[in-house]
Amino acid sequence: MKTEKLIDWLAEDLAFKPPVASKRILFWLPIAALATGIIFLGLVGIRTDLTSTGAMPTLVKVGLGLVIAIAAVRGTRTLLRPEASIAQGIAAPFAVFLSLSLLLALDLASWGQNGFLGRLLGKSITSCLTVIPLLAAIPLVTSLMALRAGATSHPAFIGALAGLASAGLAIVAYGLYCTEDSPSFVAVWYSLAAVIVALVGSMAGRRWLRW
Amino acid sequence: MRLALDGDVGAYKTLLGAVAPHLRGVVRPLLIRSGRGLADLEDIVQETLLAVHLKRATWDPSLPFLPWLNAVARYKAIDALRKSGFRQDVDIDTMSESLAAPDERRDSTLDSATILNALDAKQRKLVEQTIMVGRSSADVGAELGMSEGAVRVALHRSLKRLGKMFGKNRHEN
Repeated sequence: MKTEKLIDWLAEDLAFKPPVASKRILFWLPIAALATGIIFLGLVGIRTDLTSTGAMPTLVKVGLGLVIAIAAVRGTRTLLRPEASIAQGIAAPFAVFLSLSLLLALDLASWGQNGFLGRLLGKSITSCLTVIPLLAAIPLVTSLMALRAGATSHPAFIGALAGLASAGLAIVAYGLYCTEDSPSFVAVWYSLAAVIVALVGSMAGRRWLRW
Repeated sequence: MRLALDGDVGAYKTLLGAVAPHLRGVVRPLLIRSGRGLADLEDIVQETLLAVHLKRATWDPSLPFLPWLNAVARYKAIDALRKSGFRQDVDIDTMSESLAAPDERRDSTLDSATILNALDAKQRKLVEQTIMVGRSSADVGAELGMSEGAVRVALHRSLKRLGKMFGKNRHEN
């Protein structure tokens, strides 16, 4: 086929407005996360001491989740442009790393080294590492579908960011339920859960976000 | 591009007409460096034009257009090279042939008949009449009993189908 013919064909299709990935993800990811979160909390219930002793630690968890999610969504919105480099989408991994160090520092500053290992290991590693990824699953699929309208040059990396964003919002929901409050536990296991989702996201991204 | 995004068809054609030679300039050295002939050049150029069209919403009008365009071209060219395998054993005859006779044909290896055959009946008729013959899509749509919206969707689907064909065609080569 002659290239001029193709150009005529494309021009003929100009009236068809393509979906805008940067808007789609802002719309669909919060909806998916909210729906999943409401169902989850409806089933297991919000922790009962939310307004008393649980207030501060819950705030820390919700804050952590939001920081990760916002940084990661920003990253995906940048990286869905083909000319964006990985360096421009690095804010989210950086946010995870920074919050992790802050939480560990907070833990050591509040309670010192005594009993650190006990606080670190806690009692709910398995629940944390399974429930957070499960809560992130549907938001992840939703955000990958939204990002298919994008044109990233780095499918695996943007997939990982979509994973982090979904995990961040899953952490917000899980944080309202989980009563494991030591900052070091949150820092290590919440983050590890987020990293697991990011790995899944990067594998899915490599497959689905080619164009 | 800004005009084109506002729906100015004339501006869009002018833009794509200028983009095509630019893309040849970007893709040609990539092909040569990878040690391949230029037989696929126009295929990759056309595939990139299609990607430019389908992904135009990812260009941020507040940013310069050229880096975006080059990134699309690089992605598509590298993707094409990867899919068809980096061939190291280049036949020097085909190489010199393609170098000696620069791509004057501006034609892809996919011919129009093959493309039309891959479309479903309505899409085929629509594309044949509007693109190949040059009639207005509104007239052809009316003839086929399709609404304006249905014409738009059918045309769009036909382009997506074309995109898949580019990928497949390369696979078999």
